[in-house]
Amino acid sequence: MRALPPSRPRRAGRGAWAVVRAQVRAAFLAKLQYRADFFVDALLELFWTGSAIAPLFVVYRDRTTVAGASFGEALAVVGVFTILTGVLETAVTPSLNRLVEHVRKGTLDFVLLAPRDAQLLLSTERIEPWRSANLIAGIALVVAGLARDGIHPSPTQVASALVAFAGAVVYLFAIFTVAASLAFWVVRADNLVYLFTSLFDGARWPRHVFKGFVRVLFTYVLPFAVMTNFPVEALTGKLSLLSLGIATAGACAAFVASRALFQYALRNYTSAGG
Amino acid sequence: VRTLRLLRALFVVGWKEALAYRTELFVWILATTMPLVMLVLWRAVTEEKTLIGADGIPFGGQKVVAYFLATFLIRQLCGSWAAWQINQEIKDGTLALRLLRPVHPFLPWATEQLAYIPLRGAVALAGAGTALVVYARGELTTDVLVLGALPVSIFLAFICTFSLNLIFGSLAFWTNQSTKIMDAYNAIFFVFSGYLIPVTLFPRRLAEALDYLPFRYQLGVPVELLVSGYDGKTAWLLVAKQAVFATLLLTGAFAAFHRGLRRFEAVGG
Repeated sequence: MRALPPSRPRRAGRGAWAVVRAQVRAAFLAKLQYRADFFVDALLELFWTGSAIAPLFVVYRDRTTVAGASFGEALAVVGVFTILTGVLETAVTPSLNRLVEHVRKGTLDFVLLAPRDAQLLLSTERIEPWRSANLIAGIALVVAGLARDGIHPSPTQVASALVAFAGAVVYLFAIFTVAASLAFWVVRADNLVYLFTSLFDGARWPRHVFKGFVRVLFTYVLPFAVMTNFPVEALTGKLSLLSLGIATAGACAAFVASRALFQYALRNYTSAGG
Repeated sequence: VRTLRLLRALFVVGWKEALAYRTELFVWILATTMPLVMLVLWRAVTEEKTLIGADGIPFGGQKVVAYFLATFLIRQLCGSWAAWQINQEIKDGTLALRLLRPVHPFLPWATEQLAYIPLRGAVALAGAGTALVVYARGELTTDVLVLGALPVSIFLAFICTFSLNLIFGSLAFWTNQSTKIMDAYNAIFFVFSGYLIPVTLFPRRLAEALDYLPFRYQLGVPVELLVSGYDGKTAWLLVAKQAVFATLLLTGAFAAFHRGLRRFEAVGG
């Protein structure tokens, strides 16, 4: 059976916000039925946060800086990493994993029949609100890191950090959309989502520790290190306006490219039938 | 003989499956490259100052390269991800089909996991193995006794990891959070097994405490045997401790699975 989607992808257009709101509300209500999950997930997030900061204590045990980054800065980078992980696990990967499942089972047809933009519907289909416990832990780590170094960011620095963080979220969404789009060609695309999640783990370190190929990979190919480091550098006044501008433009370009790939993949989708 | 023939058949099925999903397998291998990222990080850390481990062995320079390449390589040889499969089979009821077969479910699960190892190992050996020999040959052990202990240690590391996967997978008989609990365990495993940080770099008390926990025996011990310059006696002592843990964990896995099985009711028909 050939693809069900229309020959031209629908635009998000009018009513998109209402759809997002309704989808998010439905996802929240579904998850609210399993309140016990909150405690389990919150506990698990504590473990993960602990595992993220434990290596820092070993690395900084008998030194004050590593590759020019102080312990406070490294802690703040782990904080931004934790917040982004929270965003990823709350709003990005659950929906993308669901997309992979849809493609594999052939149930994507039902989504494509809906008179709305397919990417919008798929990106907001599943939300794990309990994973947002990471956001609180991450903010606490950023505040602790800055306080440790006695840094009090100005309102302009905070604004720059928020712009850099927003860019990071857009980048994250774009990269994982690319991974999920490959589900149309690769059977076990959940492995790809896992691959990107694993590589993202490398972004918990100050970016100057990376050299050679890994530096190129984490800065230009998959800019995970930029995503976690730029907000901290903005808060500490180390980020130039030019760098912030390039990163923001890069995030927008990545989003447009990932959407184009997703639409291309959709046009090539052949239903699993059934 | 019948059991051997059965094991061979199960292994061949697993091997064919591994070959069929070779692209996905390669992606999976790429997903376990964190030790290579850690290599870059620890190179930066030790460039400024060589660290001294709790065992008195300096950690810096080529030792860092050898340690993390070996970590990547050995994880491919002793890793197991059976918990997710077991969890899925219990949840969707397909475990019932396995129970109908005249073979204990642990055997097909084990052979499926083992069948992926040659392919994973070949890819890792081609990359990390070559890099180890080219860049850090001097750090690899040449002691015959240690080299003899190494394959035993890798096998026991697999048994430890597989048994823990069986235990966490079996938790699905009681809770639908079993994979999350496995995730939490892995978070601790990554820190304390030597995967991100060599165990000997922890403060002495903590490093000693890790002797009584399973993490190091799942990965750190075979890596240490390959690159830490231990003598034969130390190597075989570590392998003996590993064997104790493997026995305890496998016994625990049998107990957890059979106790859970009493609660199992197949879904649908």
